[in-house]
Amino acid sequence: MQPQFDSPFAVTDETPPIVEFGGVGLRYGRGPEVLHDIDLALPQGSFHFLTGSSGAGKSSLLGLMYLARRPTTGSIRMFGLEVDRLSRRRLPEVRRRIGVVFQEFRLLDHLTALDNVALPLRIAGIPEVDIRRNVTELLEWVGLGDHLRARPPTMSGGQQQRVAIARAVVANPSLLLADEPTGSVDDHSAARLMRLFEELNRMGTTIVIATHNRAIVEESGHPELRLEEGRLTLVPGSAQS
Amino acid sequence: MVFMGALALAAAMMVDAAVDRWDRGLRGSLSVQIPPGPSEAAGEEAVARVLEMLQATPGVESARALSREEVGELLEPWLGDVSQAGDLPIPRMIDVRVQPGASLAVPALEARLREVQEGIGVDDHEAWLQRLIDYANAMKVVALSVVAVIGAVGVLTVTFTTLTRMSIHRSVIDLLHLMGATDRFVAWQFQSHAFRLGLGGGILGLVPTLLCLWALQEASAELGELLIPVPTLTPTQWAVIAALPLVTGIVAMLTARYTVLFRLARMP
Repeated sequence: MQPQFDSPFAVTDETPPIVEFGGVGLRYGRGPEVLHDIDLALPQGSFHFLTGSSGAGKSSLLGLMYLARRPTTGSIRMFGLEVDRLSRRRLPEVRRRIGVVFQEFRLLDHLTALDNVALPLRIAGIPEVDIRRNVTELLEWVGLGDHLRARPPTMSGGQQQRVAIARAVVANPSLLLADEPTGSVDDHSAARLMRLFEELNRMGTTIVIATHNRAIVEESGHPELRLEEGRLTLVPGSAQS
Repeated sequence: MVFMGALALAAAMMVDAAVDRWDRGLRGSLSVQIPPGPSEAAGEEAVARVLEMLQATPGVESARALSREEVGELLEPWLGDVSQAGDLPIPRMIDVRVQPGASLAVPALEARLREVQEGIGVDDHEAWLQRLIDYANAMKVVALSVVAVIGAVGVLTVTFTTLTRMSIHRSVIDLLHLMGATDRFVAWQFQSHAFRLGLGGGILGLVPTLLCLWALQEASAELGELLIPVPTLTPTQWAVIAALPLVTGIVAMLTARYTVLFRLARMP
């Protein structure tokens, strides 16, 4: 069972798309534009794959979604807020509504699995007694109930990935972004991971997964955001077509 | 640094206390010196007349002639035991206490007293006391400057150490940032570490400081009150010295906090 916490953002029927990009462009410094004129709207509770060849701009687009950077042009609305114009002081509360599974996991090696997963809750100021209970439940849910005290360097790639996923979802984010989550695991583990994401999506979490893995995209039937040379096209999923 | 800073601060406080003692002890008092007369009887008569004139002078609270033994004790550091030198001409001294707030015209008083006997001198200690206080204050400024320089070096050290730690932990900071950590949350991780280091380092520096001050007081106590005042600290001043590790910890904590906040403000 995924832990639940009160969110300061009440979701109502009038809630606008959870992510809206309008004419977004991005360049790094004075380099070439890596994303051109991106328009997209992700409804709440949707599930999308973000695909494209290496260097197409997938990580850059995800980076804009998890507010690691601001667009060079255009505007971004998330959770009904113009986040590209939001002051630095207000960004943390928006970031806390987003869970991210990084391609290289980015777990903290000096912390146990439990403490890694607990980080977002500690950041959110949740009481320690609740943290311990919820993190333990969540690690059991991802099949790591007997690895609470293990540190990332002693865990396999698949186990680290599940810790990273648990950390991304522990604070019950409205939006879950995953960058190549199946990139370094075998087919069996990839299928297991996809079942985890599907279950989270059924619980209402909006999901965007960047991947090269055509098999899981085609198998799942979810729509695809395809990036080619920095331009985005929406490919409807088989479930919708 | 705490060791050096604490010693400099203790020195400043000791000098301040000594100046205060000298000031309180000598202000409001005069010394009248009567040169030895042609005979002991003439000398005693001069002392009696001077005492009479002093007691009749407005603003004088009391006047007391020091005995030969008391004068001998004052001269002992320079002349040795003067009681053994009966024929040595020793001046007579009168200790005068002035009423609080009263001001005596010392030159006029001296001129009047010289009518009793030529060579009588009145010393209000003002000239040498002021020079001594000026000198002591200069020493105090130097000691406090040392404290300030050590403090500034400490702040710079913490600043650069914090910046280095931020560079080392850049990936962790980025991660916390992306998870929605506020700048204050990130700063807390650094400031709490800086506080613990500052406090621990302060305690390590305080121990040798206390040993040095104790040894200094023990050594100077053997000098007695003969030539120089024994350097002592009041309980409040001891408390200030004892609080230095806490102060060091707090300064380190605040320095780390504002260094982190300043650097994080550059992040998106």
